[in-house]
Amino acid sequence: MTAPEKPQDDLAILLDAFLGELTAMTDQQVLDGEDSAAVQAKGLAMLSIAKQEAARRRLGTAKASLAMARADANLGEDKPVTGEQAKAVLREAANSDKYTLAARQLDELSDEAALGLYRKLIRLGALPGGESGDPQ
Amino acid sequence: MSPGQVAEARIADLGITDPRDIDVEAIAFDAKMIVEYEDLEGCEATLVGVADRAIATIRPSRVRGRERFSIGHELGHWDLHRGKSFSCRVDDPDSNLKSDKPREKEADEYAAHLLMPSSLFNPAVKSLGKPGFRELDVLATQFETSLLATSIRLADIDTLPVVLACYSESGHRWSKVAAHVPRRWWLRSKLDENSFAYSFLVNDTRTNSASKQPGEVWFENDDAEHYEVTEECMPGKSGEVLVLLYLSSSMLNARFDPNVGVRRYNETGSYVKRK
Repeated sequence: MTAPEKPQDDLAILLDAFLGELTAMTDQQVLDGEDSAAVQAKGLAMLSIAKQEAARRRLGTAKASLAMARADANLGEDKPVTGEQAKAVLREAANSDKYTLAARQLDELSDEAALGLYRKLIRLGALPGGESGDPQ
Repeated sequence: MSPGQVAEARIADLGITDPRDIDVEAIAFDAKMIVEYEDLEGCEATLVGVADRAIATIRPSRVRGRERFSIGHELGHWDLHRGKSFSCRVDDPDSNLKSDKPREKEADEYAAHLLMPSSLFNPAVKSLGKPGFRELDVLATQFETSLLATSIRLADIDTLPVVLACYSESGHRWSKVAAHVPRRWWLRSKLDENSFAYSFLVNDTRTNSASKQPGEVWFENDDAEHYEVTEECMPGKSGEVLVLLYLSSSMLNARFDPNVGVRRYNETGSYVKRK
């Protein structure tokens, strides 16, 4: 087995080893005198437990990463823009399928609310440091 | 896949088998949607997404269940309507319930299934028999949802013959009916004076538990007097009352009623009577 290029999850290494061992064995060795249906059921049960564990770890990682993501929440635009400029950018974004936008109608939006949405677009990397007009 | 199935697939993907593990913010984060809280003008929530990353902003609420539903709703938009622009969820839950905008309905369905997935919610309901508002409140605590969302979900899962309705003094506001309840049962447009809901709303007299009522108190059908329902009510938002009705089993087998509702029948076919 070659060494992994990047650190792997322990569970993934175990699964790889288990799979490698299984493929190298003959049918008789695999069954080891047991009924094939029972072996299959046992294998599926193990796989299901492993999948469940992997899914739980994914949720755990998401929980742990939340705090880090919140720390970045205060990043704003480099260059100040006016409410009208922000609305112009939002109008462009609303017409592009690269963006998802659920907000009040732009003509009902206050300047402050428009700027709030605009800053979020920047944080998501939509705009180069406060360029207005074209959201690309 | 339906919006509900998409939400439940996400729950299954994350190996969630206990309501306490439905950490809606972590689930959103896994979907690359960050959740933030901020006072918003005229909206329950907003969503801004660029390519595959998004920020959902939720108006803080004293009711955590309401916040969680809003997060589920925005995640629904993110999963189902990516790359689209639309109006935000308004700040009046009543208007949201009455809304017939397809995308809003889809996001609501998604949120209900995300927070109360069938695999966890249905067995919990089954263990309660015929839950009333008190038992639904326990369920709501368990799933960290609002009592209203939990009651609506009870009708949605369609395992019990329930009707959940909201009335004000001026009449019927909205209702959710379990799918297997025959559509021939036509709710009254105004509260009947003999209903507990009327007593509560008009006379401020509260009946503490579910009690039987003649069917005619709740339904306009000519033959409703031959049937019985169980009625329970609780305060809704100001000036409104929420009603939970359980229909008796004979009501589920009642024949089609051609004389009820706005559709009328004659020798040439059917027509809708104008008000």
